Formats: sequence, C-alpha cells, structure tokens
Amino acid sequence: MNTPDDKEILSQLMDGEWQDIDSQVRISDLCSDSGLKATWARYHLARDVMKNESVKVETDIASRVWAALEDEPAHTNVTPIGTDMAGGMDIPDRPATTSVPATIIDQSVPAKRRTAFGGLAIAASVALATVFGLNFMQTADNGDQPQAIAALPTTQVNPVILGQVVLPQIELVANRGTYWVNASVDSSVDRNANQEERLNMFLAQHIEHSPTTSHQGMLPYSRLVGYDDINASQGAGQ
Amino acid sequence: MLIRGSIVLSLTLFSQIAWCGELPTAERLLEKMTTALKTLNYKGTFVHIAGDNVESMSIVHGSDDQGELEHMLSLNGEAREVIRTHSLVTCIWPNSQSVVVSQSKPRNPLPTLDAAIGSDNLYQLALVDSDRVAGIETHVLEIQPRDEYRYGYRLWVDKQSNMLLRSLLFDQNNRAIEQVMFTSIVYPQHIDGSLFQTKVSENQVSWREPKAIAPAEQPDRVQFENLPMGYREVSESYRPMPINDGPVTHVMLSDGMSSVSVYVEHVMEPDQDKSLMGHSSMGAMNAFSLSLDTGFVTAVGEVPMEAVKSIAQATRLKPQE
Repeated sequence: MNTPDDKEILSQLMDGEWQDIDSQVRISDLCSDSGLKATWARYHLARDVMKNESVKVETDIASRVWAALEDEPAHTNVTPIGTDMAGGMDIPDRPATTSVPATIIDQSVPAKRRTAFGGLAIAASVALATVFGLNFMQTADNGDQPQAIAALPTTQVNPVILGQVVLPQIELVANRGTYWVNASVDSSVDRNANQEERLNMFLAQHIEHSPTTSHQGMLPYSRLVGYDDINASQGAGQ
Repeated sequence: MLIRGSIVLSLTLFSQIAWCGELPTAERLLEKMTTALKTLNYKGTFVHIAGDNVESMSIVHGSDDQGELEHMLSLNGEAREVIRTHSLVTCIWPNSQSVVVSQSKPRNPLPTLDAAIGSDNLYQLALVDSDRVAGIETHVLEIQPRDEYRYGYRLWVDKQSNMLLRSLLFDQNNRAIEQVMFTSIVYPQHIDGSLFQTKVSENQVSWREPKAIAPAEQPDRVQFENLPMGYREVSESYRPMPINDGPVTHVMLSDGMSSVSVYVEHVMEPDQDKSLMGHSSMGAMNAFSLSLDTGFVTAVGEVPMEAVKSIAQATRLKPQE
C-alpha cells in the first residue's frame, strides 16, 4: 500500500527536488514497490502528454532495470562516505547470483580491480561472440563457393577446445603459389622445370629491356620476386 | 655510399607542383609519375596480388649519377630477391640455391613517355578520382584499353611526390588481374649503398650467367606481318642467354604502355625443344610459343593471351640477304 509520503517523494523526484528528500528514505525500497512503480510510470506518461511529447508506453521498464540490478555480479565500486575513513572496513560483497564459475572471479582481488576486469570480461565476451558469429557466417558461406574454389587443396585444422567451448572447425585454403601454367598440358601434374626456367629467363629479360617497365613501378620486378620456384613448391606440397 | 642525385630532382618535382598549384592532366601526371619512379629515393613495403596469391615485399630504390639502384625482397615464404645495379640484374632464389645474373639495360634517367598513348585510339586516359594509399593522398589515373590486345591500368599517384603507390591491371571486362600496393613508404634523403648488395655467400649458390657461345652463322632475320594495332618494333638484339646453347634473337614490341618480347631460338625444327608449345600464363603475364622451320618462337608480355598469340603468329623468319 502506498502512503501519501511515498507519493510525495515520487513527486519530489519528478520535479528534481533531490535535496529535499529525507536521506533516511531508501530509494531501493520505493523501486521495489510495484504500486509506486506504476504510479511513477503514470506520472511520466501524464507529464509527457501535457508537454505534447511523443509517448512510448514502456510498461515494465522499472522491473527490467531491477532485474538487471539483481543479475549484476557480486561486487560494487561504491564506497559509502565515512565507512572507509572510519576504519577501513571491508564492504561485504553480495552473494553471486550469476552462473559465473567461482574460479573466474578471484576473491583475493580488490573490488575496484574486479570491476575493471569485469569490463574487460564483458568486452571479451562480446568479442568472442563476434568471432563466433563471423566463423559461423564463414562456415555457412563455404557451401556457396564456386566449385573451382571449393576444389582447391585444403589444410584441415582440428577443432579447438577453449574451456567448455568448442570452436568451429576451419579449413585453410592452401597457397597455390605463383608459377607458369601451360594450357596444353595438365600443369598441376606435369609441370616441367626446364619449361618454367625458360619462361622465367624470358620474363626476366623482357622486364629488364621493356621500355614500359619504367612506368609500371615495382610491378614488373615483383612478378619475379613473387615467383614460386617449381622445385620448392613441389617439395612443399609433398 | 650515399645517394644524393635524386634529391635535386625530387626538390625540382616538389617545386614544380607547388608552382603549378593546379590539377595536372592525365598525360602530364603519367609523365611525372614515370620520372618520380626512376629518380626518387624510396623505401617501403608493398603487397603484390595475383589471383588468390598475395606476396608481401620490401623495396629500396635509389638513383645516382649513373642510374638506378633497387633491391626487392620477398617477406613471406622463400626470401627471393632481385637486385638491380647500374650494370647487373641479380635474381636470387635461396631454396633452389640459384642466382641468375644478367646485364642491366642502360636507362635514361629522365624517360620520355610515348605521348601518343592517349591519342591513337589504343587507350583512353582519365583522372577519375582522389583516394588514399598507405595514408597518403593520391590522384587516381585510369588508362582504359580500347581493344582486347592490351590490359587497362588504374594508377594511384602520390599528390605530393608523384610516386606510384598502387597499380591495378584489369582486362577488357574490368576484372582485376594483378595489383601492387604500398602499405608503407618513406622518401629518405640518403640511402646506404650496402642495401643494394646481396648477402648470399658465393659458395652457397650456383651462379648462372649467359653462355658465351659465338654464333656459327648469320641467323634468320625476324620480321612481322599483321601485328595487332599499335604494336611496333622498338628494339632488337641477338645475344646469348643462360639457358640456351646458342644465341637468341630478342625483339621488343610496344604500344607505348604495354610491351611484348619475341624470342627466337634459331634451331631447326627437328631439334627444337617444343615443351613450351601453345599458351602459358602467370598472373597477368602471358606467353605463346610456336614452331617454325628454322626457329622456335616465344612471345612473352604483360598483355592478354590474344595479343601474345597474334604476335607469335605474325612472326616470320627470313634468311639474311
């Protein structure tokens, strides 16, 4: 049951008269009262209508905020004024209500530091979720790859177990290298070292003597540097 | 050794830009870029992308009174190197323990670009946009081919130094074939000359230099009939090569932007090594080989397959008169 005093406090809060509120009143008690929450919502709705502001009916936002507060990890970085100075008394943490394993929260770490770590943990969990999402999409996309790409030789990487989470299996496309391919033979099987050597020599001479090399920058010679030696590439493939 | 020659030229380029203070024409920008590529000192890292292959490379380039010096090194996989000095081009493949050395071509320190590139219906030049490469503001120059016998180029040119920072080759269907792009670059005033010396020990590798075999007789003359539009002969040489027992005739053809080399190995048809017959390709490079009665012909160049095939088929060998 709401008392007239409670509604007066709500009215003062609506008007921003924080300094007039009795410091003994516990705001959290007001928030936990379902009747006062409904009154609080009606006050805001009435004010918005009177001011001709757009109205978004959010019937249970207070409950959701309270539920979120309930789910907060068991620590706080708020130190009541006077308590710390009075004797350095530790503020007992509220019991954890989340399912975070106890081993993750190091109880020897001060509350302030754990708050910072908590932020990192949240960021990490978001990042992990992003990675999962990305991997999932990449895995899903693989099925839509053109046949020519799907048929490339691949290197399989075993699933990685991180804690209780199994990361998805990924496939690395093997580096096909850069080398001459002759259209008249099955080049992947029957490449001829002498044939490549001749073409490479022709290419090197061509680049050095070409009148157009000078306005193609580093591109011409990078073809030579980027060239895969046939013996090395065959050896790597075995 | 300190390289100072390019400083004066670099300052000249910068002052020209500052004095002009206006957007260059596509042709003028291409000329400035070509000069900058040869005369600037620069050190950087770039990626070379061909198909699904990506290579990261470092480059050091300098120039002095005698010409250009350049050292390019692959940063992933086999540490392949190409070192260009005034007199030699040295290609090093450590895995196969081979070093190929050939003579460096004398170069004009201030090259002149064929002014007809944009005006003879071979290419269409346009300044298309501005962009950033490696954190540097660039002009974007597009050279669009007008037929299937040449590739198109999109060039990203540093607005301050006129250095080429990114280059993309594309075919007539606007599909990217090959590109290089700087990821970082600096323009040092001085470059240590030791950067252009190979660190490979002589006893670790086998050196392959051109075989000095004198020709027994006058080779056939190389002539062309019905070349693709715009290609014309710009040089011809007759020289020994490291992999051939006899000298090879090397004819260079160019349309001003692209070039094709035609190699003729003067061997009678029954004795020819025909393993290269037909079309070969590597990234944007294409080659086409065919056999004639008195020589084996191979056309190689950074042009589409249709171009090397047409040029090889246009080759004729005629006895010296």
